[in-house]
Parts: sequence; structure tokens; C-alpha cells
Amino acid sequence: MPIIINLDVVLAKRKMKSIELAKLVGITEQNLSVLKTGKAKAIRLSTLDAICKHLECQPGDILEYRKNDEN
Amino acid sequence: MDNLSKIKKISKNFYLLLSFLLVAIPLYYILYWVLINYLPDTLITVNSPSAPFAPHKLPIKFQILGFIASLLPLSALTYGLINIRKLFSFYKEGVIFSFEHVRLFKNTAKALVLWVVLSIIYESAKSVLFSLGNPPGSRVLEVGFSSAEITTLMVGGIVFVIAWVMDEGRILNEERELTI
Repeated sequence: MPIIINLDVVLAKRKMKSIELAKLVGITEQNLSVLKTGKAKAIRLSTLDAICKHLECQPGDILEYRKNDEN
Repeated sequence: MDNLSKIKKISKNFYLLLSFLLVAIPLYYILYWVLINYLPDTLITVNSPSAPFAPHKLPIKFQILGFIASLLPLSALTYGLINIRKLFSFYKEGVIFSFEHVRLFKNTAKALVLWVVLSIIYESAKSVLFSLGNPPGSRVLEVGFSSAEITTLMVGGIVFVIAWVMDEGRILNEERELTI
């Protein structure tokens, strides 16, 4: 999928651990891991809202569209 | 009690019932052929009423042949029961949708169709075995296809469609699980 999740990068910039963010957002660490590894099929606006709020960032900092070379 | 708890509870009961049937049905077939000479006619010819059953004892080799023939529908029935039992073992654990469920539904549908075909062969074999002791000219080969078989085939078809629906449910469930 050409949507890249840059959650790891933003977490590193904010020096925040995954478990900490998961608690703040109100999702399990496993679900956050699914999101980080790009296995998620969809992200709720409420989840995105909570992530942006706690990481003090924009949705575009987390989600990135990268064109596939094949297309 | 929520819906999932109800499903778990009822599935546990069905699991136990199916476990019992998996033992009881083969036992019934064994006892039927072992005790065939001692059973009342009404019980023996319950599925083949028009076969002329002469009042004679069935020789042991016919009893063995009859039991071997009975293994045909029995194998299909056991295969179906194993699949349904496995399905309920998932339900009693609270697992409702998975790829395995779809496979089990499809297997059950196949078992039902197979059961009908093999039952027809078995009943035909029975009519031959029961009438072999009759005088020449009154021995019969009876091939039957009744409303019971049509009903089973219809149920098999419905179960197959349910398998497809389950597959759609599995996809939706997978999407829901991967929506964060």
C-alpha cells in the first residue's frame, strides 16, 4: 500500500514510548503495533485525533503517501 | 447474558451432543448388523419398506457385507459430524469468524451431499442382501430417491451458501479487527 505510517519517526522525535502513547490514546499496545507496522486496514478519525493531540503533530506527519514504482 | 455468552453456552451443549453422536451412531450401525437376526422386522425395514423381506436368518457373510456397505454413509456422516463438532468447538471458545469456519461449513455441505449419494447405495445394497434369501424371481434391487434425500440435498446447498456468507463475514471481521 502506498500509504506509509511514520508513527515510529514521530514517536522518536517526541521521545515517547509506544506503550505510553497507547495508554494516552486508549488503544492496546498490540493495536498500536499493528498501526506502526502498516498492517492496519483503516484508522479511525478519533484515533488519529488522539494520536495528533498527544504527539502534538499533524496527520500528515504520521501518514505519508508514497507513489508505487510499479504504477 | 450477552449474545456471545449465549452462543458459548449453547455451543458447549451441542459440542457434547455431537461428541455423543460420534460414538453412538457407529455403535448403532455395528449393533444393527450384529443383531439383525434378532431385531423386529419393522425396525430392519424402516428405510426400505417395499423390499420383500423373507423371514429367514441373514448369514454371517451377509451381515459382514451389510456392515461394510453401511460404512459408506457412516463415513460421510462421521465426516460431517466431525466438522460440525469442530465448528462448535470454535463457537464455545467464542471464535465466531475465521477462515477455518468457512472451510468447516464447506466440508459439512460436501458431507451432506456425499451422505445422500452413499445412503442411496447403502439402501440399495440392503435391499439386495435382504432379498437374496428369497426364491429366484423375487429378489430385488431397490434404488430409492425420496423427499428425505431431496431435503438433505437442499440443506447441503443452503449450508454451502452459508459458507460463502461466512467468508464475507470473515472479511468484514478482519477489516474491523484491523481498523485502529
